[in-house]
Amino acid sequence: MAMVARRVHFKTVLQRPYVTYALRRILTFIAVIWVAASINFFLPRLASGRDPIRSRLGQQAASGGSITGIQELVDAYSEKFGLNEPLYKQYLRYLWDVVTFDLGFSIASYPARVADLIQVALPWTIVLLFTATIFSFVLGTLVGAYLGWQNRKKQVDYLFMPLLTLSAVPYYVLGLILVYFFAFRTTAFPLTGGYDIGSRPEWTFEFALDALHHSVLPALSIVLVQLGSWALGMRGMMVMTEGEDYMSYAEARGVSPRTIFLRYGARNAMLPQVTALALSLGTIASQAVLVEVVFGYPGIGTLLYRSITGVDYFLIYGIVLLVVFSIALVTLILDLIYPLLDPRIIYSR
Amino acid sequence: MTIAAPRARKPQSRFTRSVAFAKHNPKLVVGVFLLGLLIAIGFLGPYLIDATDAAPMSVRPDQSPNSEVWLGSDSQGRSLLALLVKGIPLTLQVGFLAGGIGLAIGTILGLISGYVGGVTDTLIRSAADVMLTVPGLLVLIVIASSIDGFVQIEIIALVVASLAWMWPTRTIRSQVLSMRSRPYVEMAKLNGLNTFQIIVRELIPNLLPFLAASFVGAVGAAVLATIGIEALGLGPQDAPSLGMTIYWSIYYSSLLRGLWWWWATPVAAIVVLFVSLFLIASALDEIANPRLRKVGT
Amino acid sequence: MTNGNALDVRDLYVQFNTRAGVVRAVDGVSFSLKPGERLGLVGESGSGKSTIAMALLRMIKPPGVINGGSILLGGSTEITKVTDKEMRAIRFARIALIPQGAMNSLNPVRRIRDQFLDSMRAHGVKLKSDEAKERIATLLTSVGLRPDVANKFPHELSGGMKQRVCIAMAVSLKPSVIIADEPTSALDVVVQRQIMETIGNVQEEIGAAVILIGHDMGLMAQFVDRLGVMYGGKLVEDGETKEAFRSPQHPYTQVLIDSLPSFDEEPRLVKIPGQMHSPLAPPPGCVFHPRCPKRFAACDSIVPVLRPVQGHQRVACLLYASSYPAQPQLEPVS
Repeated sequence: MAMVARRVHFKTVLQRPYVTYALRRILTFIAVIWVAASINFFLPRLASGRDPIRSRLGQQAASGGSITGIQELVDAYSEKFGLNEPLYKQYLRYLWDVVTFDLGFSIASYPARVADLIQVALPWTIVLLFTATIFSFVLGTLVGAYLGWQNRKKQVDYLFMPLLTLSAVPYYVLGLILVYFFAFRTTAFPLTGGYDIGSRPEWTFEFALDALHHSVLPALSIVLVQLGSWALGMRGMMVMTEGEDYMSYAEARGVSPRTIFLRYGARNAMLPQVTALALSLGTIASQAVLVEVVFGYPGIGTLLYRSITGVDYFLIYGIVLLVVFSIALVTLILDLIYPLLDPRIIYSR
Repeated sequence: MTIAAPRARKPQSRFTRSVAFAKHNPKLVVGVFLLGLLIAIGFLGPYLIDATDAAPMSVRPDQSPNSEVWLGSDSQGRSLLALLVKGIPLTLQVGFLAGGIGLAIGTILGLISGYVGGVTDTLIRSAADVMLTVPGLLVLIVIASSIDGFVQIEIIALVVASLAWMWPTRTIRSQVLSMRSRPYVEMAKLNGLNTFQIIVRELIPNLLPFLAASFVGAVGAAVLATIGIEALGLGPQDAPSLGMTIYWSIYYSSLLRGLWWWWATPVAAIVVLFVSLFLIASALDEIANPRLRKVGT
Repeated sequence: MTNGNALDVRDLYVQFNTRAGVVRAVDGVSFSLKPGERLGLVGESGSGKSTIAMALLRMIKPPGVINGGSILLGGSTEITKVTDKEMRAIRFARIALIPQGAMNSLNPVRRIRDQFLDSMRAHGVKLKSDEAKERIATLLTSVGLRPDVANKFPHELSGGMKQRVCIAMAVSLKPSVIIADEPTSALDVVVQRQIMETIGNVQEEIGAAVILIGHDMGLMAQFVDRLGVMYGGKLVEDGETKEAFRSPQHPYTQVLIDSLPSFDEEPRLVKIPGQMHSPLAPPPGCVFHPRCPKRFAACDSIVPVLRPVQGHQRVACLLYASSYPAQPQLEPVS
């Protein structure tokens, strides 16, 4: 990977076209967040009439949710959202709240704030999803590149079918299978949760080890599937690159096969692969939610699931907004890195 | 001093050619076979077994697979086999419907975007890219929770379709871009065909392999999203679909209680479905792009 | 036993075993190249000229295969028999290519300087970084480019500039043979001339022989010392340029030269009747006879062999074969 880093063209960053490009991308990022937040604001109002909050709270009460403190909740919200104010003022307040990460109160767990609940769950998800995705992307791309090389050892081709099969199943389906075989039939791994029931989260080594133990299966179900799809994708890109003129010209120049593979083939094939990463983030996030649910892993996914079953309206919206934000952020980062990998890109926009 | 004339090829029968085609595209054959198997279970099943057993309290609950209930029963007294028979067509219907709509929208947008170019192209492309970053499942969740009551299958299908058009748009657009400057399109223009005619008569026939591959991809994405939504419990609660079966199996802790057949049946069906779709899409990709067949020459 | 020739090609056969049948792309071609000589290979698409270039570099890929003949480089190296590793060392260092589509021949994500270094390093040239910089700068100026081009990426250069870079790369290791495969077909006429001049200059500087492949007779007339005319995988005429233009022997060459516009005459369109045959089904006898305005009875059953006629010209045509013994036709090699 150091060899990749050396080939990233850092000087590009300082040039005018790049700065213009970066600014444009950042503006798009802000636009996306704003649109998502606005949809979050208007959708419930369109769906259930003029006062969504009271109707929701009423529903909660009617279905036997926590009745205590309902009036306080209604009052807190009325004050917060200025429900008696004209719509545009409510909207502006809302936008301000979003910017300051104030996502309101959770209905089901009042008086807990949405932001607090998310804060507890978020690190779990980041550690699991982030590491799993990066690991599978890097490893998968390497494996895929190798699979696409002329001079590979032929035995590696046996990997092809298993990878293909793995990449086709949804993460949580693989998760179910893994849980059955490794947590139920054998007790090598725990069935659910992020940590043993009864222990409390704290910054000790034992806890960290325990958390790691609990995260192996969920991580595996994400990694194995993603590995397959990244590897297959990269292999496809390598094959497409094979037919390019610069490949045969490099061969005509007597350049060594290894250099052709790394600097001419893989280096070019990597570009659409990175684009694909940026575009798949939405799917990965969605699927990860289900993985957490299957494993009862205490991350954002499970939180979302609980909020759905408890019809905790504000929590749902808060989480979804957060996820959209994260995806947009990562996409932005990838977009800003991309011109460093492909010197052509700024000019073509 | 004459030469042997070049050997003329014997005209081959359709059967021989089909066999050759099959041998050349093993992935397609396997994929179609598996898909066909599922369809057969779904559509022929009701004639072979009693499909009403998919309703709750039809058979004794919590049975492991035996001679009476071949695939066991769940805690609500439903026969897994019957659930399978009723669930597969449901899932397939939604998948094909949503996938088809998504493909149609995506193709039209892709054609317009690629062929017309200019501002329209920029608009459509940006919209597609932005929509792609949105996690579809989460949008569905948001919509599902905003609507009072549970979501109808048709609504799910529509929403899923509106999230499935982006990839076909991208693919079709890039293909159209490369086709736009090809000589046969220039010829058509010189012949006086207008834009619409060019699209229909020249572009679409050459796009067919890509359309087919995108369709399969769209169906796969639609099925994935639908099952995901249902597995979270947001679908119609009494629908005997695969996703809801998984939801109930999780809800009733089938894993912990050792009722493996409850979750294994829909899981097996789902795995077979996705693998078959994937194989077909992969094979169609290879047909559209023969270079993908062999690796490294 | 060297004979001082830069390149000797004897009875070269290259065929492609496709699903639709066997294509004999190069069908028994022989020629020699003296050091510093400029040979032009001219012919229609499908005549086999580009295939020869690939064969000389041993870059024929399946389903193609070199299935006969010898390629002797510098009188001592048999290209058809060296190992892959040896061939890699030979490529570019002793026999170099100027590619056809310079548009896409340069790696888009690597700077020009790095691509130079790639070929140099591959042949064991170890230079310190400022020595390398200087060497590349010299090479670039020798083709009329500014040294700062070395820091640029290919997409920042025009078509002509990219082609010059390829020329500079081709001479960087001082090969004895340079193959220029239609180096100017993607460029406009003004740039074409500049490029050809550049090739001529650098070639003379290092004393390399050049094989120029193309289909533009006018360009050939101005550049090459000797002209080889290819049709249907065979070399049908081979002679000094002046003689070939003044008195073309083969009917195909005659029509090709006839088709060149001249200021003296009325402009007219000369056509070669018919179309080139399908590569899967070459005609019996002389491969050109279906379209030949001078064909006669024997042309559809006897294959003409390339023989000297007058001076140093060689022709493969039965018109000159008064003393031919009957030649057996070769069966397709499978």
